[in-house]
Amino acid sequence: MNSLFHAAAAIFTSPELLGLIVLGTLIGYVIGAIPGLNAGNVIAILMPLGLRMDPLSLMVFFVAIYGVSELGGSWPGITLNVPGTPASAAVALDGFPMAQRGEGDRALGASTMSAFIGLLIGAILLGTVTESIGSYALKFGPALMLSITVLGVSAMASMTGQSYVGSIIAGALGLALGTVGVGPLTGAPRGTFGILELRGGLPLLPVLIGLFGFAECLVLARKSGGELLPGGVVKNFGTISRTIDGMKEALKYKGVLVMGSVIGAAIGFIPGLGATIASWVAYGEARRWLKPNVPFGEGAIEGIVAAETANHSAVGGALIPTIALGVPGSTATAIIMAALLLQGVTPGPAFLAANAQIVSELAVSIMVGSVVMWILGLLLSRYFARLALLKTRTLIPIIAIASLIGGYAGADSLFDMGIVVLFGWFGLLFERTGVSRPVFIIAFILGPLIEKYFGQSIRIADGDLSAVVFATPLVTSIYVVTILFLLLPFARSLSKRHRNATSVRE
Amino acid sequence: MENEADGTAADARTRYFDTALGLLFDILLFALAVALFVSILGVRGLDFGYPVTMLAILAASVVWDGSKRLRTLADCYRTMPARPSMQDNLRAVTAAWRTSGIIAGAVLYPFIITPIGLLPATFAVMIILQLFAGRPRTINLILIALAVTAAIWLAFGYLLELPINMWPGGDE
Repeated sequence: MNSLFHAAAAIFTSPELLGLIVLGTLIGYVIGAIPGLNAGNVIAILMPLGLRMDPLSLMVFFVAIYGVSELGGSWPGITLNVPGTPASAAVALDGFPMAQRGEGDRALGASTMSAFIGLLIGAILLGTVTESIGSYALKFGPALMLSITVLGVSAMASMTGQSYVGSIIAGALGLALGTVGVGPLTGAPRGTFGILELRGGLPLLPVLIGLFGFAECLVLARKSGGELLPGGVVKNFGTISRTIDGMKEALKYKGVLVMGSVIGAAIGFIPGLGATIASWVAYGEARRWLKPNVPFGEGAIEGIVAAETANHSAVGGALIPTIALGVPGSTATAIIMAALLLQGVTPGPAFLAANAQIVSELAVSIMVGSVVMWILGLLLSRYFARLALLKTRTLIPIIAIASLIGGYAGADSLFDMGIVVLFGWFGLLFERTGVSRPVFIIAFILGPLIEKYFGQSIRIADGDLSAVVFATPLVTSIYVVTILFLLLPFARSLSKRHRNATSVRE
Repeated sequence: MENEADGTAADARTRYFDTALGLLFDILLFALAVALFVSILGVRGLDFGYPVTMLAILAASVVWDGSKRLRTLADCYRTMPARPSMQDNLRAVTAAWRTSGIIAGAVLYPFIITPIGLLPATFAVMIILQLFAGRPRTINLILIALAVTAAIWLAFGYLLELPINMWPGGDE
């Protein structure tokens, strides 16, 4: 607790950090409200800017964008039935019917208050749990770190993406391309095809910007071609007092607030699940508990509260494994981790031990950010919601140029700009063929770490692979869980086939 | 992928082309895995064994996916109409035209930055990208290109001080 007070003092006495929180909040609102864009896309494009900051400022800035973008995404969902992010679709389910009834302000208020509580609880968990996990993880040897990192990639592969084989291809491709460059043991170049620029490996920044920035504008161009995004008319929005009423009403559902926050933080912690699944699971649970009395799907404020708290506490949840173990819990945290790696900082137990205060500072910055978010939400929600009507034909060239110049800015290299275009094209192909971009990027980021831990553990075990897998009961259990994660999609597919066969027979 | 027989004939055509694209992508990834393997022959020890294991997993999963796609392709071929409708053709060509144009504009950008400078290159490429992304009014086209060029100068030229020519043969 003491460290949280010190962190608060550090944040409040730094105008730069406070400025970054406000700027990050505004950017988060804007990108969340524009359908087709998400925190991952924009953090990737803004990474050259982040690389010029110190690690704490970078994390504070990017986490503010990440946390607030989800709320920004809920507003056009409530006002126009056009959720700005996939995770906010559950909020729109009850938010839009409320707006149609003329209670849009109340829905926006409830959504803002629930997001505030969710972020706050996520931040408290981040500030209290991360350090304990990190200090425990400091005792982990390379064999255990290897198993945890492999588990992170496998969990992501089995939980994300439309197609399981697509996720496996994405993971394998990410790990394979992560080995390009000079080998860590012999110093011999691998997979560089004689290109000097590749000796240090495929550059992370342009790969990220290509996959999440440039690819996004290609995907948008294929889908819409410049017409207005689907949506209705913003209506029934008037006074701040009704927004405040919605906020007060959300606070009445204490049980739903706590349940949503716990579900969100727990699901956010597991790599690959993230805010989208958290919001749907919390919505489903609230519906299961309260259904006989509450008209879910017809404008029930409880639905907004459950989905929105889970959506936001998942942010803190996803940051815990990223910082404590170096295993990102979501795409956005993977990109934040990539930004830290580019600064020469490797998140994980060793980083945490050397910079114990950074978690408290980050947790406090999220709390401050949630207050800023709450105030701006109260004042500006109805205006931000209109951003959903922005024309994609305006957006596409801007994203494209920002991605290209952002790719250049990382290393002042036109070669990197070419990598942005190449991986942008790859991203479009990934999207069209069901190969998961988040899985690829997590495997690509964690690949070199897996190779490092593998090299260390195999040397300790004198080249005996079984000694690596069966190093300790915990390591073996983690590999068992990894295998279970990999088998999970098969089990799901078998049960689906069984259900289909049963319904056909009936 | 399991229910290819369902849906309309037009859906089957879309699935057919998406599956064919997926198959081509699988072939590309397989070729990439082989090329990477060939390029690391001669490297010794773990520096060889680890990437080869990853490449083997990649190749195996690509072959697995490719075989599934081949079966889907055959199913779609049976159910799709002999001739696509004019509307389907137009939609497919327009989408391909838009993305190809944006990629072409992006490829052009690094090549023209050095000879003509960052700002004129940004303005020119913004015009090209906007033309392919949609059909804005001429005045909007120019205003947006100017605004983005000014923003690029402010962010990357003035604030981040990128070491790059802003104008043809001009100062960095």
